[in-house]
Amino acid sequence: MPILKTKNLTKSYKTKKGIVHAVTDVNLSVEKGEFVAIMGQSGSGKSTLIQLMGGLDTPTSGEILVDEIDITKLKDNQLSKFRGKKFGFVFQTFYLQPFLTVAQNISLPSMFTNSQNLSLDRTRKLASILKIEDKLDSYPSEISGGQTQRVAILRSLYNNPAIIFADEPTGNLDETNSIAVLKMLKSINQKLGTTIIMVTHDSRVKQYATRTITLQEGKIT
Amino acid sequence: MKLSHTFTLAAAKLKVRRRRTIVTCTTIALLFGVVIFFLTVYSSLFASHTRMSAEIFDGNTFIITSTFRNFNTVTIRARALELYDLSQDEDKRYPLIEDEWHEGEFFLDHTNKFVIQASDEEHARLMSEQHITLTEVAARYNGEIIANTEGLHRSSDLFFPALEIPPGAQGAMPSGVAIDILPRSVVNSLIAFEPNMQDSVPVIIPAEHAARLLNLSRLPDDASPRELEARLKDIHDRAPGLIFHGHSTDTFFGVPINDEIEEESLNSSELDDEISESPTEHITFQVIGISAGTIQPYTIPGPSGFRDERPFLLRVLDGINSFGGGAGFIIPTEFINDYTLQYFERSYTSWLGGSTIIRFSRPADLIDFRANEFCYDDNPHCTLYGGAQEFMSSIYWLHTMSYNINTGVVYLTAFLGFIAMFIMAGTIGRVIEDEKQATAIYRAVGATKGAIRKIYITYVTLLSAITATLALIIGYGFSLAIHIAYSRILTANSRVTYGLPESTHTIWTVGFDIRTLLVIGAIFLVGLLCTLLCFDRMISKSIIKDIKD
Ligand SMILES: Nc1ncnc2c1ncn2[C@@H]1O[C@H](COP(=O)(O)OP(=O)(O)O)[C@@H](O)[C@H]1O
Ligand SMILES: [Mg+2]
Repeated sequence: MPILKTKNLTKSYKTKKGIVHAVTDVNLSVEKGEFVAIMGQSGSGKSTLIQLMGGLDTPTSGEILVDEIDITKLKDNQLSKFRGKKFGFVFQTFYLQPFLTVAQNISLPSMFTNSQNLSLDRTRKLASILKIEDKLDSYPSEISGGQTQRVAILRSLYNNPAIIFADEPTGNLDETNSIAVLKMLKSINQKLGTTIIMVTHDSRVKQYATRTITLQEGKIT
Repeated sequence: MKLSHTFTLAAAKLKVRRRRTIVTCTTIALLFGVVIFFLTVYSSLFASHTRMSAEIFDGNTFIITSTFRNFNTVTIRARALELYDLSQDEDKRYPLIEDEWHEGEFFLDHTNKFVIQASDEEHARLMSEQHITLTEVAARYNGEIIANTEGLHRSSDLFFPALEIPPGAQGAMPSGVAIDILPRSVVNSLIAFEPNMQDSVPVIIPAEHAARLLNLSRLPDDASPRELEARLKDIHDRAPGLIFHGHSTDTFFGVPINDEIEEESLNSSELDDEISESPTEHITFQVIGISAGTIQPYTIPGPSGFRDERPFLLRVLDGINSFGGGAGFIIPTEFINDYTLQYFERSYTSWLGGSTIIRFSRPADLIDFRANEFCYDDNPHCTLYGGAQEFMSSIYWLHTMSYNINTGVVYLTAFLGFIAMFIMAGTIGRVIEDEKQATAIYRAVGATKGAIRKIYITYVTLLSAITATLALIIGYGFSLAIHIAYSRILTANSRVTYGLPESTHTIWTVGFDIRTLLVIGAIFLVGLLCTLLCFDRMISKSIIKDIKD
């Protein structure tokens, strides 16, 4: 049974120049524990697809089944809670909250889900795995880009999600940091069994991913 | 979501965005601070004035009222008939005369001794009743009636030196009656039955008419007060004693009258024997005084069906006995001699009045008295007809000024308050709008809209609390500064200006006004409402769209 399955997933945008078909009739099935890399040219619809699957946007048509639940049919609050429990997100531009400390940013998801996860110990333990435990009281503006993305990864991990969606997580990082991030995601995938769906340009990802999908003009090739 | 988390997230925003917090709060607080400052000024500076004026108000006389009561013709008629029945006198005369012009109607014979006695009794009763009423009403406001020993508030003082007011007059009729409030209807009747009419009828006429009699040229409209005063003095000196004759039935002092009514009434009048053809030709008037004012023609339904305007004096002479107008007062010789009123108009309710002085000990009492008891504007609970005037008094003026300025300050404060609220709403709106991306991230990691709304409500409430605190500090700080700088000099100046004695009260500008709480409430309320409104507008369906915006 796939953990995530899309059926004829389509998203089009209405613009001044006409209708843009960002994602067209995508049927994708991801099994639990997979590390899926979505590749393709810029503008091929990768981000759109991953955002739809993560419930951050609503499709024009089609279904997204996560554990057999069609998340496109969920109400706004239900979807929020669902995201909080099941999904983690890592973005290219990290989107940390500048007014929260590193520790608070890491544990942010658990503040909203009422889970028992939230504890300083857990935050510290997670931070130590990614070697940023000495930065817990710093603010995002006070740490480097690589450290920032590590904080974002820890945030996506905090609620023990079933799936982590990562949209070009290495896009803003240098080579060393990029490789580090890919390794982190791989070890999360292997040790915790978390399903990872990642969008990337980075050809190195092929070493880490269990499957690679290529998009072209919004369609899987 | 736990309350502590909500608070953590809201407080973090305040702390880290310190500059924005300070700028936002200070801007809004400055505005509300000014509002609070005005309130403290309102409640203290002018309250100080009021207190000071109230303190020295005690014992001052502030009001003269002219109160009026009606004569009840029905009562007098009944009493006259009763007296007639009781009288053993062989020669007694029936007090009613049949109205020749209106068949079956009777009017009182004003020369009848029973009528005179009945009206005297009624008059005395009404006067005492009026006195009792006034005493009672005044007492309700801690006021008391005092003797009008100075004959105050009579325009007769100005114009009728010949008619001296007896010393010790109470101001109420009949002992100290003021000519200018003589019931005209009484005079009307008197002149109609005036036994001395063949000789000369004493009249008081407006200065304007006297000027015509004296053949004075018309003063230009833009005559200076000095010229007017000189003119008045001239008239005043020369007019008394002037003799004039009613010279035409067409006009009286240039005011046209209606011939038809004139003739018709007079033909059937019982005065026909004495006055031939046109009565005014045969009447000699003697000016005994000048009054202020001008002709105020009054209207009656004329034969044409239209309303004709006729001056008062001739209305009397044509025998119809209406009242009203203002062309002049005809003073019966009898009245001039002893000031006693014994007659009243045959079919109209008569008005009598007088000037009464009431002493109040507190300005507020006087204000309440005037507001509650006089029948000015549809006051359903009023007890007194007439008018009341306060004396010119710097203390009273100070008091009134405080009241008026206070009212002005209230409006100004309310206006400023509204502006402050609008600006605050705009500012908070922007603050919330700035949180769009943060909101989207919260939602991405699992926050429901309700949870985020709570965070912002907490955030804005904290902002409001800081703003309110700052506003209080600014408002009261201003007040204190003003107080330190000006209180002493203001107090001293007030004392000199208004002649206030040394008192325990100084002018103080740092009082607490309960409306300050209203301002604080407004700060929180605007914050809350604005947050709720802006928040819902800010959130769109697509989280990713909000993040990118
Ligand atoms: N909000 C939007 N409005 C209009 N067009 C959009 C919007 N977002 C994406 N697109 C369009 O959809 C297509 C796919 O975009 P995207 O998913 O971001 O591509 P990728 O991530 O592969 O570079 C592009 O042509 C892009 O211009
Ligand atoms: Mg993209």
